[in-house]
Amino acid sequence: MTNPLEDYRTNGAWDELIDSEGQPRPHARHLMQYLSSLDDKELLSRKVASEIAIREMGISFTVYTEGGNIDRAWPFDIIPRIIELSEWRRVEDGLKQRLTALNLFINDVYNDQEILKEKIVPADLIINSRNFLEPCKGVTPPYGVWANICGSDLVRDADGEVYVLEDNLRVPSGVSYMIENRQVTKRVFPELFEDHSILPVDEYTSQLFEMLASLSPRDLDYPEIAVLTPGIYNSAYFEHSFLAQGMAAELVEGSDLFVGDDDCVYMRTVFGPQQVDVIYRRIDDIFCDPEVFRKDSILGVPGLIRAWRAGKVAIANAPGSGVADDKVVYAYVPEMIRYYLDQDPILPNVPTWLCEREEERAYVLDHLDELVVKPANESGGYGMLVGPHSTEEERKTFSKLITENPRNYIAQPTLSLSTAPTLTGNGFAPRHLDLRPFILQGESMSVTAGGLTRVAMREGSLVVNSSQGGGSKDTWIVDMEAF
Amino acid sequence: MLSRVAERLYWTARYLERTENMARLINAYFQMVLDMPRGEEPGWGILLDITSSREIYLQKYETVNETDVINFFIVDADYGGSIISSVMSARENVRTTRDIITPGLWEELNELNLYVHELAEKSLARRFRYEFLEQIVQRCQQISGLVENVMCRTQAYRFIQLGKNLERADMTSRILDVGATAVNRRRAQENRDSSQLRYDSLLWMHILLSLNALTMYRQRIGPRVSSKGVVHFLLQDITFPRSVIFCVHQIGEAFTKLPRRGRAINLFAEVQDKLYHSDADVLAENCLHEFVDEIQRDLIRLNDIILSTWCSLEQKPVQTQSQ
Repeated sequence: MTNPLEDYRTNGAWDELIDSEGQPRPHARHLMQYLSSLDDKELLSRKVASEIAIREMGISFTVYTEGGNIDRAWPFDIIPRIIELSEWRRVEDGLKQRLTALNLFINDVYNDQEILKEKIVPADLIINSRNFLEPCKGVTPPYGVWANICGSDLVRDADGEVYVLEDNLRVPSGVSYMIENRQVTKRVFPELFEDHSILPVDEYTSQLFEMLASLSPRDLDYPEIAVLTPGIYNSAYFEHSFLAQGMAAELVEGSDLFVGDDDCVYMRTVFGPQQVDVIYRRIDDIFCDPEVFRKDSILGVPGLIRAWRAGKVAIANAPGSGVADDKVVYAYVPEMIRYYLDQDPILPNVPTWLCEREEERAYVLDHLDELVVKPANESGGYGMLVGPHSTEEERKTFSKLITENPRNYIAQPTLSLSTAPTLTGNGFAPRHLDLRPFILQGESMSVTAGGLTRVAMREGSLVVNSSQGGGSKDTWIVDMEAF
Repeated sequence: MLSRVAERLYWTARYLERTENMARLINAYFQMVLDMPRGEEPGWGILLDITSSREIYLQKYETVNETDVINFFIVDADYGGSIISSVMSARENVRTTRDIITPGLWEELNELNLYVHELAEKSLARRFRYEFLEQIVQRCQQISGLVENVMCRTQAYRFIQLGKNLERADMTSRILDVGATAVNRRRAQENRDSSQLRYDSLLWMHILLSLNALTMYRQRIGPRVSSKGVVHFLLQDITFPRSVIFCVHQIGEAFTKLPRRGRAINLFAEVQDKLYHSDADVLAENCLHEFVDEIQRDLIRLNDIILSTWCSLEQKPVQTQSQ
């Protein structure tokens, strides 16, 4: 029997499970011991079992192609990624601190704009942002919280430090895959759970429900909650239905809702109109009300913003939250934490150059081959330049784009992104990954136990997005004290 | 219909239902063990308590551990409640009533029996257990589906209905009881912080899962899984096919279609009233265990009355004077 881990070599980046000497880190010792007891054939059979489980459970995501939409099976690597509980507690605190500050910021810019007046954040950056939505001015949602659900992307650099790469405050997705990944691992590696004390992940849907219920304008035991989806062609439709089922909420499309003369939102049901208290919005805010935003939107509900402004319905995330989900605004988050909370940030930002600032732009243009350049407003890994992997021509294109529209670009050093052993066609090999935990804020706050680990399946690749060939891993928060 | 045949059909249905319940119960508990951080799970002995088989178990095994408990419940032919024994008993009862049931049903049951004998040993390993138990549940449901879709609603069907629902009510009430006991025991422990308390709702969630009830619970009661909600749902929800009251209704309905039903109907009405008029909130707080005990006794009385009214071979022929 050959030991599949014997040939495993880290590639210079920080490896989550193996140290630089090639030894398993303490929290990965049991897993590694177990894996080395399996031969290639056995490993392959587990991999096949995971694929069958994923098909049977119907875990899928939709990819847009020119030939139409394809529902693909969720790409999954069977080797879990492990984080120690004591480290995780610190990350959790950092994430809560960050979201608290971000929400104070959003509420501030739509109301008193103190932080802009004091020039901590440049006013024109916010006021002229296309994410700053005029119709949202003057509103204070329940508890002053705008972004109730946040998915932050965390990465670990070669020094082992965890950085926040971005905060997704619009309609972050992926949490259902986090829960399903655990289900798959339980089926494929039930033996592994004997030697570990792993925090469960399936409390998320009930926490989400309680958070949403805490926003209800009517004081009801069970407020009526609806998950507003763009429909079955959306890439995250699987997740929309998963969460609706978990919360026993109605899964609605825009056409299932209407706003009455009393400014309340109603669902069309077999019993007639039924009032909705909280909408978990999974469509972009500019599509949610054709009366106010995009007139051509057929996804939205005419009058929804009116109902929201009147306080008759809560919307999570509140429309306009995206103003803080911008890679330029991101650069100011550490300042926000100091300004609003008078604290030092627990989790560091990735150093960021703003192309808008002349000096920094000059540096970026000089160092395009070393840096990662990102548009301020895209998600899903689109429209990026990864300097070290780019061609002369691509760099020229970006140079032009940046000069024409500097506000729209930022640059960051190319982080090495940590790796973890991943099962490939040639046995175990290191693959780069990140982590997206989900943070909830309503009346109180909570953070998922771990999050969704996304992994770039191609050798050397740093792009983890599932729309671009990324896979995922089950993420374990392991309590080492419990042994 | 012969009393002997009626009795066999009744037991066939009970054993089949027991097989399915057992498979689901073991799998749900197993999944819970995987989910709970170490030290938070209630221990494999809980399965022995649910099935009242601790005594029988301890006659043969020395300690309560995963390997032995799983062995006991899946492959131990000495234990009448094990999956292998239940399937064999169901098959034996059907074998002797083949003239009444459809050939398809007999075939399915045979296949189930073969499947269990072939793979039960292998399923003792954690790795293959999930799939094995899942298969058992599916095959049992296939047989139930056949009964529902091909059998005439005549007396044979009524006795199957009686057996299935009595067994089902029995399992639901047992699971509810031990869930309550486990939570109470945990609540009584000192030094509990909030992170430990939150696993209580995880425990109730798995209780629902073991009855395939979680999604329906959420639809009917809501997404908050609480002891009161679960007690109410599993005892009193008239729409959920595994609630005790639903099963008792089904039993009552079968009674109304059978001859000589007077005593049986009276007992049914008594049990039904008790279920209707109990307050789930009070039960969940105070005396769930006592109440479930009472329901268990009622189920035994229902079982006895079914057997004595329709299945007894000791029916006395009409007395004639002989001088």
